[in-house]
Amino acid sequence: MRGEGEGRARRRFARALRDPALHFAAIGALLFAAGRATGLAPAAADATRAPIVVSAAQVEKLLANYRAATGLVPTRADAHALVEREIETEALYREALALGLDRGDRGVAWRLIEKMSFLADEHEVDRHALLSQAAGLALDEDDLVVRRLLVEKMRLRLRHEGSIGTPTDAELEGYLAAHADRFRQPARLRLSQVFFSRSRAAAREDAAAAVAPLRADAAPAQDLATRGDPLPVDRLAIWTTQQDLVARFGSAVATGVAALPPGVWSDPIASPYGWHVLLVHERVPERLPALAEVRGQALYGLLADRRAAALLASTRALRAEYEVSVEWPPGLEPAAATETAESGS
Amino acid sequence: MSRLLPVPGPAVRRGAAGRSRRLGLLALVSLMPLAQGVDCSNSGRVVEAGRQPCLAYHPSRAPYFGETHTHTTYSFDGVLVDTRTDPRDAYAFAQGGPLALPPYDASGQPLRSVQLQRPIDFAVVTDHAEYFGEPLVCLDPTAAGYFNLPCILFRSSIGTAPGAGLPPGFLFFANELISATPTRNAAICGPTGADCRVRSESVWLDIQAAAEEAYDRTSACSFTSFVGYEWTANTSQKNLHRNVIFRNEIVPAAPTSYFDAQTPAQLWNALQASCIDGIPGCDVLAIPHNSNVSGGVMFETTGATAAGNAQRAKWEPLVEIMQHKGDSECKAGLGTTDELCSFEKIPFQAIGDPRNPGGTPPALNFVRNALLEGLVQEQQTGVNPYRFGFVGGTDTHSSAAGGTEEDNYAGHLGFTESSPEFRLSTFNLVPGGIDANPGSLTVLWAEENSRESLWRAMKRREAYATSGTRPTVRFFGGYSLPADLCTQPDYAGTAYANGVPMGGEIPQCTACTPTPPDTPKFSVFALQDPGSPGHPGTALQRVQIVKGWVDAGGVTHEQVFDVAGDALNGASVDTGTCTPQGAGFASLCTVWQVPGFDPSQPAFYYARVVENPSCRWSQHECVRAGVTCSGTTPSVAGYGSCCDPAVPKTIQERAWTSPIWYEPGA
Repeated sequence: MRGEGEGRARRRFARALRDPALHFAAIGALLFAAGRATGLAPAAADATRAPIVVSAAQVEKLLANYRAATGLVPTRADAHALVEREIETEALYREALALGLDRGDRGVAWRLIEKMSFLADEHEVDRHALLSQAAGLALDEDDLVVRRLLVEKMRLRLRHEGSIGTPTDAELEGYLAAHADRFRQPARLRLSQVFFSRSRAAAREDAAAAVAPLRADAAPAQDLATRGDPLPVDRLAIWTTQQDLVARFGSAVATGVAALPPGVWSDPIASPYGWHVLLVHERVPERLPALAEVRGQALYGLLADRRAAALLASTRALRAEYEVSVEWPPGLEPAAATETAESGS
Repeated sequence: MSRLLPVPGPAVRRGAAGRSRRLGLLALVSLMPLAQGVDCSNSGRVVEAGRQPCLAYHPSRAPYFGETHTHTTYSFDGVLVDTRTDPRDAYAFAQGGPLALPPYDASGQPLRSVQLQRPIDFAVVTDHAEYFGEPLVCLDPTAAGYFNLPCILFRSSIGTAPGAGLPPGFLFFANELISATPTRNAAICGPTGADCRVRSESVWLDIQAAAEEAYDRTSACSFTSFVGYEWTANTSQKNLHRNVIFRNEIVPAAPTSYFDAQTPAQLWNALQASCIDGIPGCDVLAIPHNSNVSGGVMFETTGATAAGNAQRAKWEPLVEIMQHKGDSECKAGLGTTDELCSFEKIPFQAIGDPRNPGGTPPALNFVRNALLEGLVQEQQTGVNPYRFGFVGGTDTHSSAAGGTEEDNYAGHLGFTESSPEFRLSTFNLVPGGIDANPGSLTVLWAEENSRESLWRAMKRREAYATSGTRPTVRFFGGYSLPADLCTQPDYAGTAYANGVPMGGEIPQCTACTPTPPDTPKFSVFALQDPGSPGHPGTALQRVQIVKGWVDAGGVTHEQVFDVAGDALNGASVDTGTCTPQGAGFASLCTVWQVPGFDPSQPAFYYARVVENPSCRWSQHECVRAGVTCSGTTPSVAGYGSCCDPAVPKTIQERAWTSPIWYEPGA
């Protein structure tokens, strides 16, 4: 017995090792540890955070780029989204520099060497020399390629930090509550029907004539299977939903059933296929499942959301560290109502 | 076992908490359901551990609508067409949620979105297994390969418009997939390939996580996902693609890509080793698709052996008969005079060849010809390699799983099909644009909407494909199907008791007295697509049975029978408004006895259910934009296809049931 138990535990362990959630957590932890091991603590919120200024020329350039990329004339809302994105980018760039992400970066080095080789003596081929010359000339400052590299690097780092941590039950409960619309299960009903096909001329009359005997019969279940015309799908004591009825038989049947009290055969209801006489056996109201029922779905949903949210939240937090001023071109100034929101962040 | 396995309850949770003290992170995962098929009752109902039995259980099976072919941003060509949505988004879309589509504005907001009129019941995300990691390297400035040429070209190719030719970033990736000896690109992945491998692992895990999140294991059984991927072989520019689908969440640590296996047999062997033999509880099948651009090699049988044929039949019980890049059922002029074979054909004969409307593809590019060849193979080797059922997919590269609605088609190739002008344009180097269509659906007859139940339906081929609409179709065959089956209140129960469903096999009737009782009968019962509010379904026109057989001399034959409905019902569609005209049938049912049946000839029979005419997706675009034509000149620039007589304005949507095979002497 003991050996068998151990075997089972081993198998369980092996299965657990294959589980994607574990791998995510492990990869996240590794990336996090790697970031920490390099000795790069988050940049201190020190006094060196000079205000971020977006000049009128920069705004115009953002708008021009947008027009070129999309062929659309940016609205005021577009303009504000673009500027906000630019401010976030600048905050990410500065954070990357503060963390020293440019140091030892192959991409940055590549770019600086490429740039320096244009400026330097054409016979200079030593890449190390080129690199140090570039550094001496501060060629990395305001270089768009270097900036984009560092911003992307910063984004990746923030995103990875979101994978950290095992959600607690309380957090999963919170996720379930916050996504109740997704997890809520629609009302269900158990349904039987007797069907009369349009393919027969007398179907409508037959359906009308079938109602009274069905209602009078104390225990019709015995011979329901032998009444009416066939459908290609099961028609007795089947659990279904309003949405499923619409998909299967159209809106009229679904609406008719919605109004039907349990235990009473309906009048004939028309569908594209014919006439349906229906009986609702029982109904189960809509419900939000317990966490135990949807734990896997909630867990993976929460982990995925965290990864996406980490980037957003960290970026916003970084941006909030800065005073921002924007030189809006005429006509694009924030409306009075939005002004406080713009400057208050 | 005589009872249903309990859903994980408090006892299970306590156990998990206990382990968590020792194993830390494992607590997170020890609650995850583990699929172990358990036969639970004398009715044969199976409920895997870790899920609740579905409330909606159909003893005679119900039709579940879904699809088996979806790409997301985890496909390299998805990235190239600027698809930024992932498997999570694809599953959310399949369940009725909105989906972001390119183009994106400068602040990263999508400028388009699309939503299904009707959700689907199941889906499989099948990203190209070959390049899970490479695009991430090329988009990650911290990666060593970021500034190497392939990555620079890859990035510069993202979101290029159609008509500009194949972007160099595409060719760099695609060229390996046409090589007989593909190698991973060291300039991207580093000398050991580690950079791509590490990223590939996280993508494969995310694909699994998205499937986990989407699979409803409660008794509501509202949606089923499967873990899958696409094996993307284009040896010598000929399409040999397979979608690989796993039975449950127990899957190998890495997919088998074209880098690992260059022939179908190598793929099957790898699946045997990594899944079937490699991990207890793992099970898998492969679905070939786009034989229409395979240059004849998808179903080639030169040098076939009994063992090879048996291996193929074991791994590939299904074939994808239609998708975005065309219909593969049959083609007029290639062994058939069937006029309905001229449906959604694309003018490409092999995936790597340029557009060639005048070209004649090899006959074995088409499924019906392969079914016939299968009968010949059985005669010659004793084993039929092509006894497959039919499924359908979109092959969307925009994460739009199940997006087959003609009047709600947003294109399946991301940015390159992002506007009506793009969609209506001619793509000369890869199939797409005006030649393409919104794709096809798979319908599985299963007891309930769970992985196990749907999986079993796939394995027994109780499946049919539709050209995107949702008719309900039953197909049965057998010697004792009653002549009055269509008026028996319990149609399905009677049919199962007296015959086999679609995908089944009928042996020769050795106990029957001589003709006519030894002639099998077939029954088709079809309901028209009921449509959805605001989008009425189209009535049925007719039901056909396609028979294929081989005679004693090894010569193949086919015949198409109209068995119900009316081909001359006069129904049409007003192409100025896309309003249908004339009557059709809401339901059609028949029992049909094969005329001139020869019990010595192996044969297959499948049903084709044909709707009245309706507008093709492209005509919906023309009507929406109010395009009028003066000759072949459109009133709206970029809408030339609206006035091109070579572009059909209407189609007849249809369903194809899996065949039923008749086997003499069996």
